[in-house]
Amino acid sequence: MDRREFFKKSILAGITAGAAMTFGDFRKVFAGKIPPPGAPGPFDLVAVKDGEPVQMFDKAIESLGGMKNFVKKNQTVVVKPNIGWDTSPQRGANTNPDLVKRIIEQCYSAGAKTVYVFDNTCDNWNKCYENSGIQKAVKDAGGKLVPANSESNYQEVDVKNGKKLKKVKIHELILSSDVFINVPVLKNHGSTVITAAMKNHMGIVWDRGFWHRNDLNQCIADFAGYRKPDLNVVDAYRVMTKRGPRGVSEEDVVLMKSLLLSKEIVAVDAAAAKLFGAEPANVAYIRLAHEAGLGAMDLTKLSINRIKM
Amino acid sequence: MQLTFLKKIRVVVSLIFFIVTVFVFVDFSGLVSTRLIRALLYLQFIPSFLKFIDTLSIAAAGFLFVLILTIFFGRVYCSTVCPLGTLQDLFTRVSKKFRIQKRIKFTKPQNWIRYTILGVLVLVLCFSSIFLINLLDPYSLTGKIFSDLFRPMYYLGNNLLSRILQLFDSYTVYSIPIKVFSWPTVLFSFSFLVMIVFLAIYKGRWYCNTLCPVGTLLGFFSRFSVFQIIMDENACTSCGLCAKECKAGCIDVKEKKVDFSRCVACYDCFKACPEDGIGYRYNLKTKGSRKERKEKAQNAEVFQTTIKPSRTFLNLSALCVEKHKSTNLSRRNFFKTTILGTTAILSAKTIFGGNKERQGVSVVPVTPPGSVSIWHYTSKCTACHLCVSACPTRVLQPTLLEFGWSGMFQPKMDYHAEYCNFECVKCSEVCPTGAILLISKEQKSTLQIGTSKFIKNICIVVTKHTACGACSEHCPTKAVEMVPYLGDLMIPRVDEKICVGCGACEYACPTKPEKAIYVEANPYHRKALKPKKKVVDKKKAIKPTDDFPF
Repeated sequence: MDRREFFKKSILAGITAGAAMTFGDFRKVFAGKIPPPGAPGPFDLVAVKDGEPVQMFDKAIESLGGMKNFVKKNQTVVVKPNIGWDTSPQRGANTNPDLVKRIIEQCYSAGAKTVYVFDNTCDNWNKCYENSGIQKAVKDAGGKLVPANSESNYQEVDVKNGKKLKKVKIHELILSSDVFINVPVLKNHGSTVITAAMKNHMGIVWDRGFWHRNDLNQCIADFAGYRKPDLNVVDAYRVMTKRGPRGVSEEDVVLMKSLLLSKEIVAVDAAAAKLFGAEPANVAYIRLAHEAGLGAMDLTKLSINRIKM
Repeated sequence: MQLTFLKKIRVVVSLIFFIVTVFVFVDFSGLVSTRLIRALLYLQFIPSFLKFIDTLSIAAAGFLFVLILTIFFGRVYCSTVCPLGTLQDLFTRVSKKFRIQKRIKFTKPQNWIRYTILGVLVLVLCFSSIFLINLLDPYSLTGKIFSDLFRPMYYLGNNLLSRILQLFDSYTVYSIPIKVFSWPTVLFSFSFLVMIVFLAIYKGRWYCNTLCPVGTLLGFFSRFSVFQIIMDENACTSCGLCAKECKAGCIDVKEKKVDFSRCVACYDCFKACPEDGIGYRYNLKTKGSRKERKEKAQNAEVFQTTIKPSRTFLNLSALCVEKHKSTNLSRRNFFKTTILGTTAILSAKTIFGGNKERQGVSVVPVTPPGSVSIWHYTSKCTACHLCVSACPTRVLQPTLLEFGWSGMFQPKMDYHAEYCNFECVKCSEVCPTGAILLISKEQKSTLQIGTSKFIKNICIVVTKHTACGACSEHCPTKAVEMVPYLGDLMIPRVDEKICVGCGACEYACPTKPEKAIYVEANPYHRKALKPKKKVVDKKKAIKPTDDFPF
């Protein structure tokens, strides 16, 4: 299903399209294309250490059976890194550009038709895209960098079982693409302790202010129940350990040289919290998502592949 | 001597100046480099003059070149460099094509209006106020027309194109949300545009020869130009063809005389004359008549005296800001003079519904980094809105009366529209008048244009007991930091010493209708301290572990 087709369909279906495209139905449409969770490999989560971003990702995706397990031929893919801030890659506020580049390359090798990349940034988006190094990375890899600064590109959807977040406007590429790969960077956050996979979703929605006004942690957990990414890649190469999520200088950054990979968004955030030295249960949105049954934050019950390079 | 080629040169030069200037005012992509913008605006008379009396540098001496040119050849500026002049000529030409235009007849000069306006303007300028300049300067008026009226239309067209391309899966053109639509400036620019179109069609260059202060001043100097356009009394057959072409209405066929003070040097008449009876002639009168020479000398004196008071004022202002040296006499004097200005602004604010009483709004508007102080800024800004057009984040937005009557339409930092990018100094690079002085990114990183004020009782964390931290997230210096509140909850705390006043916190704050954190303007911009190094307990510091912690 390409984008044009998607538009046609949504026009036909009218307003009900939004509701029909909620998580359950959406996954059913592609049930034939995407294998159910847990199928490709025995591992729920892969954690890699002490390598360069590109090598760590290659190793990790290989242990989950390769990118072909996630991206099928002629599928459209949306890669969502964190490009929120107008800072250099060394500051660790945005996802590592080398990692983003490698993921796009792998998607194309697996036969992807188009790989879109976007983020609804906090700072001026032009500057964020450019200074984060991601603009160049996407261009080099042949991906399509999409501006996300216009409300006209967002569509309202219902969040089933949302406690505080009932309706939300999300970027149409999330709805129209076949595969959604979430590529956050692990960082400190002033009020939610850490930011990683679940909080990265705030860059696919239009009105973040609503989340901040209406119990930020609950909204983050609610949205995790709407649409889980098909793959989460947590960049923990340069980790901003304080003054996050924007940081002030390179001195806020610790070289952790790690990478986490999982289909399970709650589990990957729990592992990220551990890397950060925090208990998952002390990160409110992880606990709330766990309690809502959206995933397990107890890592002892998961099969984890731990790779040291 | 046939000089008809002069018209061709004039048309080409004026179109180049006009097209690039206009594009700079509607463009959002930063396609035109700041160097080119600066070069382009170097010759704009009033901006250059205002910058020169402040800096006295050759880098701002464009107006002197214009004056020299005028002394030699008359008001060449009015038909080449001035964008409003070219705009009027365009309308005149179009109306001629459609035969709407009536012949502009020779009229007597409205000297009393011209010189009263110029006199008042100079007088006001001596009291370091910009009043009238911001309403009459032809460059700034054109700027407002294109920045406030045509720029939104340009954006809409662009956005439509962007949307169409997106249907074909192309993202090469991105859309620009129009966040703020400043009705007063739009209305003003629209009314002015309608007026100027009407005048251009029915009265030719009436504006330039009656209201425009630059036209009046240059007209005054062109009375004494070395070369003037003069009718050859012997060749002239009084056919009136030259006068028919003259859009300034300054050719008196009966008397066979050209009022050169109103001639905008468009050279249309050269071509019109079948007898070659009108053209540049060496102005012997200037050399011959002692009386006029004397007059000229006096004018020069008048001109110089107008510079002096303003210059002292601005030098003082620069002195005061320079690193906060110990209070000296000149500084105190400066404060005295500026108190007047402040009271004017504040009284205007109370009369016209200022912000003084409202919670969460700065008493005076925040001025952009590089503008030194509200007084420096308001006494320099001609409200051309180039910074509004050039600002990549669109935090600079026009005001109506927030800077008082004399500062109508001057832009402010509008933190409800956006916030100032920490790494950007674009406005200081493009400002042609010196209202926003050129600063480096390094200087900007510690330049405090205001400070954040936290209104605890309406903060989400206090009213709803839920996590937020949007303000601290966006803060580039971490002047707004999250500190423990109740249980796991964190609450913002402001360290004003390291705050630069960029407004990121105010913009991000989600509370409605009032924001729980806002920037209070520094009437005088100050120096902020560099962000502190955050000391973390070594035991608590997060370090990469040898093994996986799970």
